[in-house]
Amino acid sequence: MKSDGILLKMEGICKSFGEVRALENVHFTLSHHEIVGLVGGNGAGKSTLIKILAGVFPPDRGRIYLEGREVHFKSPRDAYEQGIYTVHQKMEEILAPHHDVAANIFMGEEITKPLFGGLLRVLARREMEKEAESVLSRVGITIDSVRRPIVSYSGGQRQAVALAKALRKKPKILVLDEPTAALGVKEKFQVLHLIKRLGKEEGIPIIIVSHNLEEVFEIVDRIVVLRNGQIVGECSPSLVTKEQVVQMIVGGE
Amino acid sequence: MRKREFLKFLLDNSVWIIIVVFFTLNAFLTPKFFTLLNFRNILIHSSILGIVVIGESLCLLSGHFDLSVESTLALSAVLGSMAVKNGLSIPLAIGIMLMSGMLVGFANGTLIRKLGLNAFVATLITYIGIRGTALGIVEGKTIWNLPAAFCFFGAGNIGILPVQIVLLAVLYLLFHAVLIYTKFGRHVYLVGDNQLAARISGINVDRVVITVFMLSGLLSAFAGLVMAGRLNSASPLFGTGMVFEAMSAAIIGGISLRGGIGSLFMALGGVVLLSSISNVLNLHAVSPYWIQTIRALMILFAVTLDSLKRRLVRYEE
Repeated sequence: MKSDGILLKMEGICKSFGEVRALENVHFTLSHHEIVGLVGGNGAGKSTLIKILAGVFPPDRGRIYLEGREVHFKSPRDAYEQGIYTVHQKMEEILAPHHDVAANIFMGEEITKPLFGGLLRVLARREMEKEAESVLSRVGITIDSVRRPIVSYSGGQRQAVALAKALRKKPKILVLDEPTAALGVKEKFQVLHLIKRLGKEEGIPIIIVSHNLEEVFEIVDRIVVLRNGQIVGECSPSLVTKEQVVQMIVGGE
Repeated sequence: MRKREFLKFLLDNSVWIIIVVFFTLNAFLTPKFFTLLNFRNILIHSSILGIVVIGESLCLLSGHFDLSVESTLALSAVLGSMAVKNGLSIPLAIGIMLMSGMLVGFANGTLIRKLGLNAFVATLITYIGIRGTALGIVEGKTIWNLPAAFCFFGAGNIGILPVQIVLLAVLYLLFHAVLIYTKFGRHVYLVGDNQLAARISGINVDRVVITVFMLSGLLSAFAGLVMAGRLNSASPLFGTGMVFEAMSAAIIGGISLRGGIGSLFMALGGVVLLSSISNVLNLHAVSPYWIQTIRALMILFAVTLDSLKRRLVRYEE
């Protein structure tokens, strides 16, 4: 699975905020069809790393290669256009709560059709609804109507819509920052199941940042441990125990 | 579930339902109310406010206030009347008026998006400043006796219909269609609903907001042309206090101050309802001073309905 080439390579990434060294010479790679879990304590540098990847701020030093080409992200929009789709802690924050599901999935990329022989262009509502339904069913999200507003759905369903919105774009890399932090037990399970499906069946490479080792062990192919701005360990969840990972996170012997 | 949906339908269309009830009641209670002539009066009375409310609604839907609408109206009336009085052609005068409105809107939008001012503060600046400019240009004096052709939009007739009523209908249909059927309209709603999400999703928020304010200025300036025509004069004090009426009408029509919710068609309902109430008070010879109190009660009623509606659609465990 990991032999089919490297998709993303971050090389020698350094980032400081004033006196604080957030990242020091970090090397990080992601292969096609891989789900990587990024773990570490508070201030370990997890979110700095994914923010650099998402184009929120540039690294002080280091290079980023996507599919072998060097890329420079000046803004989150740049990263997004290169196919790196980041969803932050509350995925629903990227949704418009009083708009229906279809409108949200197509936000900013509405389909239009010509009217009066191309004189005007109007929204192609039917077409968007149909496509929204097909994206949702492709990933196995059950939602009773794409015409109902986001506020009428539960937290887990909102997250699912946010993911569907990301999927329609066919992202090269999906970055999930604490995707289940704000959910109840049952919903957490559903969203995890969905993420797993996306990674395994749809073959979308995923970087997942999480505090919850339980869920990391359940879905990822590789665990990367950060501590004090450095990568202190990489392992496969099938070869280590949770205790060993915790040991790496907190440091010491 | 069925009952819930029916209730939601009632709440979604509450203004027009209230209008129907109100008209039915007054058909019996108020002499001379239920006549064609009186309906014509109500609609004429609605027209200027109605045009301003379109612009205000666009701003509110995008999640912003526009306090400057009434000052823009006055400046436009004064500028246009000065222009025709000084021998400029009428189309040119109208062009100047509309340009002035768009410029004020552009200033509002730029102050908000490029300078990062809060919409309330930005439009408070233009609200005061533009009123001051209108007063300054004519030194507080009213300009009388405008050419008949200039007054066409405010006092003319097309067949048996007053131009004002035709304008009201055409502008509402036009802007309603823009909001519902075009990408721009969808973006106005999305920016109002969640500005951050809109930006992340690639919507050019600056462009949407500046355009919305320019349209609001354009419509207010146009309302100034209608008012000057109707009164055959132009005063720098035109439309004083109208911004509160415009906001009341929009809120009564169910447009949320938080943005993203509501429709222009319902805002029109708000305008018609406000006009009908003052019409009825007039017919009963009630002191017009009470209209403010009644309007306040209407707003209270409207926001109560709104919160009820929100509770109906929200997901609950």
